[in-house]
Amino acid sequence: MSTQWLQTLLVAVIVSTSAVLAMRHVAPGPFRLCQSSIARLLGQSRRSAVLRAFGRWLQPLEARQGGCGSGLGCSSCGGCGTSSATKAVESIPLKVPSPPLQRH
Amino acid sequence: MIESVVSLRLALVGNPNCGKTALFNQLTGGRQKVANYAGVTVERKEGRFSGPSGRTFQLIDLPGAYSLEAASPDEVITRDVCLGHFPGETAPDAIVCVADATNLRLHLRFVLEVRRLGRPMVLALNMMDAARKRGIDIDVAKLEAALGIPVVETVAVRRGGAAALAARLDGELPPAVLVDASSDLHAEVRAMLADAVSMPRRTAEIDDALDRFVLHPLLGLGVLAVIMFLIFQAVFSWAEPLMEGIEAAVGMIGTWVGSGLASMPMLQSLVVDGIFAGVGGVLVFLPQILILFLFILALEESGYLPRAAFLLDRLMLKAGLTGRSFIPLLSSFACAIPGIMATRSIQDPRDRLTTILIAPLMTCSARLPVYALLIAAFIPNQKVAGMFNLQGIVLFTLYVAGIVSALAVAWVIKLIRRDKSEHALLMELPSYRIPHPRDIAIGLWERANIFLKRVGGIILSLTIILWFLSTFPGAPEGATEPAINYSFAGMLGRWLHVLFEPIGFNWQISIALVPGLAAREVAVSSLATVYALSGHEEGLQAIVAAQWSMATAFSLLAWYVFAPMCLSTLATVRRETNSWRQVWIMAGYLFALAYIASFLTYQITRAFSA
Repeated sequence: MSTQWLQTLLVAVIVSTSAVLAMRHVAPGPFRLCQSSIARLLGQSRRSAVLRAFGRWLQPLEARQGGCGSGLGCSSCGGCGTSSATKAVESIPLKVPSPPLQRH
Repeated sequence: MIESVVSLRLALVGNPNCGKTALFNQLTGGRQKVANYAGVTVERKEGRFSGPSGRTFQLIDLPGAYSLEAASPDEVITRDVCLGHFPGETAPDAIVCVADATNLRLHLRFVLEVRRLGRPMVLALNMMDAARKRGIDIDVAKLEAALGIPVVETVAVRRGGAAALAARLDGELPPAVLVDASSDLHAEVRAMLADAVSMPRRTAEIDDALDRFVLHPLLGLGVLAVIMFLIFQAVFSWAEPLMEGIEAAVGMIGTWVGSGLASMPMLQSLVVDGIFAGVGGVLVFLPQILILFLFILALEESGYLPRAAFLLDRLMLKAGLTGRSFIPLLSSFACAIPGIMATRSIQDPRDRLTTILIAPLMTCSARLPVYALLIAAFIPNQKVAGMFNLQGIVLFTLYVAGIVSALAVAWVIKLIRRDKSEHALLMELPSYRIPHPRDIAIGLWERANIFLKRVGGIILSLTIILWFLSTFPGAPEGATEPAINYSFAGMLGRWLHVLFEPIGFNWQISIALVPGLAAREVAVSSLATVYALSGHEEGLQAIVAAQWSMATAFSLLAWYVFAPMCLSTLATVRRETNSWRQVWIMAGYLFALAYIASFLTYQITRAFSA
């Protein structure tokens, strides 16, 4: 393999890995959806054993990765809160009651 | 790995700021955030620990609560877990109720309330060292007899301070006590205190002496201003040698790695112009971030912050907030996300919403690299009045600008909202404590880790993507302009430039704002990459100083005071408010404010410098 090809291959791998990582950070929900769809597709019984194994590996583990906005709580976030080996799950949606309109 | 079987599920409950999380960390080896004020823990956390016999326990750390009649969202979690109403889990097998031994008058009431649940229970008398220092004498045997539950002394902040508790939990727990649920809890507390506790004073003498200055309506504000001012002075004065060291090291490694890749120019460009120029440009700000957090952590541990909340309550009330908003807003200086989460301790939903909406105006640490870069490039490093660093003063002013804008926005929200009722601040003032060097060191280590993970994760990824977008497609044959002008990034930058030209941004800044939405520091790494690919070989600071006008630099500073927040913040707002509407309102008003502020700054600076 020529140096030119090796270089192109290395750059392609680095850039595409970065794109996947950035996507996982910026849009964890759609990313997980996409990941599990591909894993399901590869896991079908008519696929080869290698592809099925790859599909199983690709299957996102529940709560494997946290992240701000991932729905796992801020302490699961690698970028903002304190790191945690523990589970943080709940969210408390805000409900703002509307006061009755005053009629004159 | 074989998972050990959990023999008991234990819940840690107690009044806020009694040391539950410190005890949790002691027992489980966790590193959950602790600080000397109420409302640090707003989520339910889980961990495991083994008793002396090897039995494994699951420990649930819960937000502090004054009562099981929950008044705020974080108290709801505690109540629901204790009662077994928390979705997806049963009630804990036993409850470890933690009480501050220096403040039993308040904390015993909650202990008695929890006892009424009729579950096996242990009382951890925490901060016993502080109680002894203050001359508080607690007859543990009498207290145990009066409560009918085991009572164990703990010092959660000392190594091994929870060993007795672990040993007690490992033994046989006594059955639940059944008590009369209609008795007067306050009267019971008074009777127990009279029988088992003797204390020379209700408050510590040193606390009262300090509070005479710190809580003084005028002196107190002066003290607060001086503390904040000194912090920002230190950020610039102390960090310089360390920053220079990192810059030199990154440059040296970049040159060395780049020379090894001379036969592969494309890969060399990716490594040198993309990774080293971009990521190195952000990494250099680590010392400043750590110095800022050194002070924040020390203040958190000292017990000063609730006093600051008390001092600012009147001002915040005028702006439509309450003193309760202070801690969430302060947390937002680290990152808006924990700040928004911390609003769970605010009882009133409208106050909570207002605090969420203004939290991104607090200057988060991700903005520090942008500020530091522009200040170092455009503000001379000189002394004012012979002792104050001018760059530090400008940084302080930018932080103040964020705070003032937040108060102004809160005031406007107050004008708009229909319910104008005000809520009085009821807040516990903890005893002062000398910050523990080990805790501070752990806190700094955590912050450094968080920053380095961001640098090695999202910042690195986006920098590489930007390098790709700035490199491809290459320049056509016979091209006269730099190759980057023909790239995807160049094209996108020129389109965005139309929108941002009135506020003085060039196309390089315009393009850097886009990845900056994922993480604000990426704006710096993006600028470094874009300029490196444009053939500039100097450091980013030198390039910025030479290429930009002062009006452009000030305009970008103004932009970042209001900068529309990162996507993670928006996702958190969506989750906490359960509303897309609030997300759009927040993003819209922040963008509008940023644009208007930048426009005015640019035009005014240009007019003055003409």
